[in-house]
Amino acid sequence: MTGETIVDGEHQQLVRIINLVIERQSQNSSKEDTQSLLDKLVKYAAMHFAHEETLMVSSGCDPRFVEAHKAIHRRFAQQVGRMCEFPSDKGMEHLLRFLTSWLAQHILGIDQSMARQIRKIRRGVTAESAYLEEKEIQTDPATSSLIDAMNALYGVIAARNDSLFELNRGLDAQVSQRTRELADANARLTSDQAKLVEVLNKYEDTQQKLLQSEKLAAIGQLAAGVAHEINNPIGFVNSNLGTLKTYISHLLDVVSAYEAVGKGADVTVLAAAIKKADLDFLREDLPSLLTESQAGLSRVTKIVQDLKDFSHVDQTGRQLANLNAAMESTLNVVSNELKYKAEVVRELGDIPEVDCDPAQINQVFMNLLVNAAHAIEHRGTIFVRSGIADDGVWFEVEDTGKGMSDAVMSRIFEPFFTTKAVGQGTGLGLSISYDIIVKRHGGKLDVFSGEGKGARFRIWLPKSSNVGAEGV
Amino acid sequence: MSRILILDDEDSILKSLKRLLRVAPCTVGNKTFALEVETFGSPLEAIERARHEPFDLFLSDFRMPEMDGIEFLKVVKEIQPDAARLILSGYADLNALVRAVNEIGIDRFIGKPWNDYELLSAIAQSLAHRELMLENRQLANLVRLDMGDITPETLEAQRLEALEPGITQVNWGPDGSVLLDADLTNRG
Ligand SMILES: Nc1ncnc2c1ncn2[C@@H]1O[C@H](COP(=O)(O)OP(=O)(O)O)[C@@H](O)[C@H]1O
Ligand SMILES: [Mg+2]
Repeated sequence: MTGETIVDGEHQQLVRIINLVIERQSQNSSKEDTQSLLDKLVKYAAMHFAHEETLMVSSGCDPRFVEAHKAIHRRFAQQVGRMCEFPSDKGMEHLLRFLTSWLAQHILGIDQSMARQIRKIRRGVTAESAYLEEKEIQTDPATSSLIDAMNALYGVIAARNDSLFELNRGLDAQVSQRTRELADANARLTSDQAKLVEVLNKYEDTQQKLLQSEKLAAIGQLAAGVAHEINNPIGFVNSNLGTLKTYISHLLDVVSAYEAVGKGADVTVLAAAIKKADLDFLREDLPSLLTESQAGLSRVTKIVQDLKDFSHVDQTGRQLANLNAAMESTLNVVSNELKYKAEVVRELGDIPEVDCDPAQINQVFMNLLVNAAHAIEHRGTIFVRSGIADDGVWFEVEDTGKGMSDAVMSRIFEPFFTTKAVGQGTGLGLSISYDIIVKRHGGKLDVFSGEGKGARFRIWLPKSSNVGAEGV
Repeated sequence: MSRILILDDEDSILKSLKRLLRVAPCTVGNKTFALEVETFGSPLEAIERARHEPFDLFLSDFRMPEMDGIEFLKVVKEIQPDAARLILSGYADLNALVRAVNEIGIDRFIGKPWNDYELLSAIAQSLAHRELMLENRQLANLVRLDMGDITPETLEAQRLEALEPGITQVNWGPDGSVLLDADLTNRG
C-alpha cells in the first residue's frame, strides 16, 4: 500500500487483472481472449502511469526522481510493445510472466518509494532531501535485496528483449530480401527457360529442314545414277518393241503369202516373203528379244523396289531393323553411282537387330557411300563392314580414295562445309549423319583418314537407345 | 557399206541396236545407207579394233567402267579423225555434254531411252555429212594436185591411212622389221 488512494486503487485493479490473466492462461483459454485481456492490462497500466506521473509532479517530487520514474514507465511501454510485435504461444507466456513480475516489482519497489517521498513532502520535508533520504533507506533487508535482484533480472530481460527484437527485425528484413531475390531469380529462370525452349524449337526446326534438304540433295545426286540405270533398260526394251513390230509385220506378210498360195497364187510369192522375213534369223532372235526385254522390265521393277526399300516409304519411325539388310538396300540404290568408280567389297558380320529409324540410317549409309565414291578419283575399292561391339552394332565404310588432311577432317561435321564443286556437294551430308547417329540414336560416328590415305568412317549404334528420334 | 562401231557396257543395249539397224533402213532424204555393224562392250577392245579397221561412225555410251565415252571418242578421233562421232547416253549431265562438244566435236548427242527413228536419222545424217566432207576434201585435193600444192605421194598416203589406220606411221627398223609406235601402244 502506498497510502495514496488513487494509486492504491489502481494497483489493486492492476493486480486483479494480472490474476485474471494468469487464471485464463492456466485454463488454456483462447488466444484472442488472452490477447484482449492483455490489451486491457497494458492500457490500464498506461493510464495508471499517467496518474502516478501527475501525482508526482503535483506533489512536488524531486525532478530527478520524477524523470527516473517516468523513464521506467517509458521503457515498460516500449518492452511490452516489442513483445507484442512477435506473438507466439511461447511469446505470450513470456510476456505475461514479464508483465506480472514487472508490475509486482513496480508496485513493491519504486511506487512505494514514490509514496514515501510524497508523504515526507507533505510533512514539510524538502523534495530534495526526501529524494536523497530515500536512497539511504534501509527497509526490510529481505524485501530490499529481493527488489534489487528483480531489478537486475528486469534489466537482463529488457536487454535480451531488445537484442531479440533487433535480431527478429534483421531476420525479417533478411527473409524478405531473400524472398525478393528468390522471386527475381525465379522470374529470370522462367524467362530464360522460355527463351531456351524457343531456341530449342528453332534448332529442331532447322535440323528438320536441313535433314530434309540434305535428303533432297542426296536424292538429286542419286537421280542421275538412277536415271541412267532406268533409262538403259527402257531404251532397249522400247527399241526391241519397235523391232518386234517389224518382225511381226514380216511374219504376217509370210502368213498372207501362205494364204495367197492356198488360193492358188504363185509359190514364188511365198519364197519372197520368207526371204524378206529372214525366218531362220527370226526363229533364233525372237526368243532372245523377248527374254532380254522381260529382263529389262524386271530391272526397272527392281530399281523401283530398291528405291522404296531405301526410302522406307511404307514403314517410318522407330523399329527393330536388320541394318545389314538396310545397307544392302542402300548399296542397291547407290550401286549405279558406285560401279563406275569402285568395286564394293562386303564384309558384313552377323549382327542383331537394333532399335532405330531405318530410313534415317539409310540416309547415313548413302552419304558415306556417295562420299566414298566421290573421294575416289579414278578407280578404287569401297569396303563395307559390320560387326558387334559394346552391346551394339558397328558399321564401317572405307574407301581407297584421296583421303583428307587434318585441317579438313576437323571441319567435316560442320554444316555446309564442303571441298566439292558447286552442284556436287552440299556440305550437309556428314553434319546430318552426325545428328542422326549421335543425337537421334545415341550412337557414335568416327572418322579415320589422312591425306592420300583413303578414309574410314565408323558408326556405332546401341542395340536399344532411349534417345527420341523424330520421323522425318 | 557404211561401217559402224557401237560401244556400250550393256549387252542388251548392243543387241537391241544391232536388231534395229538390221531391220530398219538408215535413211536421210532419198539416200539410204547400208550398214555393217560391230558392237563392243569394252572401250579398250573397241580402241584396239579401231586401230586396225576403218569405221565411218563411232557410237558410244557415256558412262562405262573402264573409261567414259568422251575419253573413248578422244582416243578414236586421233586414230580415225574423219569418222563421225555420236554419244548415246542416259546420263543427262550438262558438264559431260559441254565436254563432248568442246573437246571432241561430237556430231550428235542422243539421249536414252532413244527414239528409234531419231537414232536412225541421226546416224544417217552423220554419215551423209561425213561423205560430203570427204568428197569436198577429195575435190580440194585434186585441185591442189593440179596446182602442185600437194604431191601424189601425200595423196596416196592419205588414202592408205583411211583404209588402214596407222599404216603410214609404221616405223621401219634398220633391219627392216616393223617398230610399233610407242605412242599408240601406250594408249592401249
Ligand atoms: N570418304 C571421304 N574421303 C575424303 N574426304 C571426305 C570423305 N567424306 C567426306 N569428306 C570430306 O568431308 C566434306 C564434307 O562431307 P559432306 O558433309 O558429306 O558434304 P559434301 O559431300 O556435300 O561435300 C567433303 O566435302 C569432303 O571434303
Ligand atoms: Mg556428302
